Amino acid sequence: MWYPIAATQDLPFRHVYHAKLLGQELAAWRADDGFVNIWENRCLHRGVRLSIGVNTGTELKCQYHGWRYANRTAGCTYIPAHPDRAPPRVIANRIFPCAERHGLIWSSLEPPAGEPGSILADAVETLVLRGIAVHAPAALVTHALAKIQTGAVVFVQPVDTANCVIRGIVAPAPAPDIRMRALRHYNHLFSAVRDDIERAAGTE
Amino acid sequence: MPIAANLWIMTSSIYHDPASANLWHPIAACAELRDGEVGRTTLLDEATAYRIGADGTASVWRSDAEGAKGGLPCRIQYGYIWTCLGDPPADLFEIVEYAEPDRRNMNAISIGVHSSAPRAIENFLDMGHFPFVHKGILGAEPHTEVKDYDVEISVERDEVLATRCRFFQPQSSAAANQGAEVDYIYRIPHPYCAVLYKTSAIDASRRDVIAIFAQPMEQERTRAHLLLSILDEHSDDSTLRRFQQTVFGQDKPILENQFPRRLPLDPRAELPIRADKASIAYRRWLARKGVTYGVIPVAA
Repeated sequence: MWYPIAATQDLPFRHVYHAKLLGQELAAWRADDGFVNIWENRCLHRGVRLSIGVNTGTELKCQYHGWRYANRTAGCTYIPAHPDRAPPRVIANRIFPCAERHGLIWSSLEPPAGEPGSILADAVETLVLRGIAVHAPAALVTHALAKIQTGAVVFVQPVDTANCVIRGIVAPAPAPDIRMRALRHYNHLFSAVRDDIERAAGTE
Repeated sequence: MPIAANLWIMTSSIYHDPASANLWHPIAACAELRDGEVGRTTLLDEATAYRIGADGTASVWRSDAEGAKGGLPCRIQYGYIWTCLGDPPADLFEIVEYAEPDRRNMNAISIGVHSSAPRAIENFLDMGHFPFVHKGILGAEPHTEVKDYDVEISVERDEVLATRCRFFQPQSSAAANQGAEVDYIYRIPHPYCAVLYKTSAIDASRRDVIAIFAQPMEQERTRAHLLLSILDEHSDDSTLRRFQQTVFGQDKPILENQFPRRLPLDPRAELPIRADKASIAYRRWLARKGVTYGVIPVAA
């Protein structure tokens, strides 16, 4: 199943974004050719998070020993400690499915079926709302959100068993002069939802 | 098994592997303790307290909120208070250079790290990260190659030794004023301690000694104590400390972003390369000694 793990704007030029889905840490980065990579957030060599690494535009370079992994294939291309030796071809990081749609970055731990967020037509311009992290299980939050009319399309990203993120989009996007007002409105709305849930769950 | 160790294992509410409990562990730098002041810290999940008396001798005891619960063996060595929760060995490993009269001996830093003690030790043994983590100080691209070196696990001395380690360093110490290929010897005489001998920038025939004494507070929480025993007549104490603090301050975020936090001893758990010979030997040695604190043991 597809879940949103980030917003498009979380992947600016040469950034590496630290995400988490169902307990699995992910490193998400956009190469200069536009391709979005979603990998296990761990260098194969010594286990350092790749989200603290460097996005060179074509490769992700680990911060610890400079191992480089290629855009798209996640294959290790260079091990600086042994510069004269090509890394064995079998060294490749674990890749997760990725889709970019409606201003959100989507992924899945299993091979997913269909298109993500398919309730909307691709052509619609969307306004992506700020992700609201909630310290409560996704099921609880989904249940609470189902009971209110928001006017936004809302997805819940299950971060792990005790945490989730409310990711909303407004489609079509409001006119530019009222976008800031819309963002404020939804920020208040979903923050209040979060506060209620955390208070009830005793996790605030 | 000696009676003392038996008693301890029966009365303690917390489990440690005997391999870790029966070791001397550093818990504080003497220079950081004011006269008569009681310090408190955690060792292997247990609350301990310590002080240095007017006569210069240390005392260490198990403590909790109610206060004293019983004395522990202790000793002062290399400027630190060491204690043991089980049955301590007669001696601590030797660093003979420490006694040389022209050495500058000091604790450079005692700093908390949210990782296991073995991860901190392995990082200390690693040359491959110098150009990336200590860029411009202990290494610089394109000088990234880790040249072949020798490693042995000495049965007689019960330690891991890595020799003939060479690496190009832009600024190998506070006293260095230019880049140089530096010679290293690494010695691991204790599961949570490592000693580095590196070419002195002042006298090429002698070696600076830098040691890391890792205090395993919890399985995944460590205090790293860094000992300097070096040749440098000119730099003041704060310059020498700042150099080591800068270097360790660069390692700390790496260690805290390394997962799992406990060191996996199964050789297939991570992906070692030839440059990691020292780390491979260290992991094997820990497994052979039966150390389980701060590590993920090899599955039976």
